[in-house]
Amino acid sequence: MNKNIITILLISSLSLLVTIGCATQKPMYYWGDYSQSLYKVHKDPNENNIAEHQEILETIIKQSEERSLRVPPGVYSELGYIYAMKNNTKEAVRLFSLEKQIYPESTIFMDHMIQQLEKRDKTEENIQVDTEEKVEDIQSLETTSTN
Amino acid sequence: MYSDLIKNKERKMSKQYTTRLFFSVISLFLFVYGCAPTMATKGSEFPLMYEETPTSILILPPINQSTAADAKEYYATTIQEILSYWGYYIFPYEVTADIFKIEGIYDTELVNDVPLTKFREFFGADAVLFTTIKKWDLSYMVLAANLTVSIDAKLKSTISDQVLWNYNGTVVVDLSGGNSGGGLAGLIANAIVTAVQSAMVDYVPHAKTANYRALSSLPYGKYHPQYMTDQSMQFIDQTPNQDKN
Repeated sequence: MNKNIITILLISSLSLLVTIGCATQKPMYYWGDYSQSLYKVHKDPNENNIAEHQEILETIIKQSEERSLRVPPGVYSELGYIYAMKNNTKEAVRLFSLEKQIYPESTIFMDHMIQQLEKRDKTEENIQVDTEEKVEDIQSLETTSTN
Repeated sequence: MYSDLIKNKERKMSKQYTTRLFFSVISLFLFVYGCAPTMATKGSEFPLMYEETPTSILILPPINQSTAADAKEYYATTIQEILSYWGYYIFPYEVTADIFKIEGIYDTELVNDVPLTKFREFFGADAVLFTTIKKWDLSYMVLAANLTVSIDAKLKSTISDQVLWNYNGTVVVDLSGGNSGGGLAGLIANAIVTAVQSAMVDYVPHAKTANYRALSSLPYGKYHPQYMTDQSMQFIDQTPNQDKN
């Protein structure tokens, strides 16, 4: 009789361990509605859908911090890329650096991205300087011609 | 006479106990081996994963050989999230795919011709995931709907050029969800719900499930708590030995 009780106890405690063991494991990441909103962007890349997806990315970062989880791989850099596309280099570089910080595996790629952005900004500055010079040239031409 | 009765009772008890034990052992055995005819372990099937220990994975745009035009989008928008749970650093698919597009190697098989060392130089990736979607079929039956996905996936090392992990199989996802109960009426209600769901076209969760199952034999990476301790973990071997390269 005793043995019976022991087996029953053993089996029930084992099954309890299995269920609790799985249930209490903290999730690795918080992804929210990431895949859903990304699919919408792929289907119809209109401004609304892109803005919604950007919001989802910001929420993932916020929620991960609140739940003291590591921000999922690629989220900082994907958001950084969106900022880069909007010519917000400062925010893009900040996010690319954050990706590097929590995932050192991304260093080579992120450094490449930051380099590209800096190069782009430089050529843009040059173009601006060029056009300013041209305007001056034209103005000086005009003044000389009127003289 | 009385003691005989007690003895008899004890004998009966122990017999009962033995039968119970016998059945629990059998059922445990059945549970472990019964439903899985060919089991393999991660360690024996993919030893290179444990030798090279790649920490980062670059996902390449999939090659879609299925008849479903959407299959590629479903794969592309769900793989980043699902693969991350295996504990690797996953390069941001949206960003890398855009770079491939700019370089003109998207939507074609050209990406297969890029030397693997290039991915190491530009991205710093340890491994590259190649995927071919062979089948993406929806089948509707009277009372159920299934999504059948056949995938051929390979994880290749950028250091040794070797195949570290591969999957070649079919996943069937039940789209009708849980049985709502209620006998035949419940089943019919379920079928109606299934039909409505199919019309609304939200396969993202099902694509996630398909990806999740296809990846089940992939050893865990650095950010997973079971990193380097899952060699003896078993999985159903869907890959016949002759197809491993």
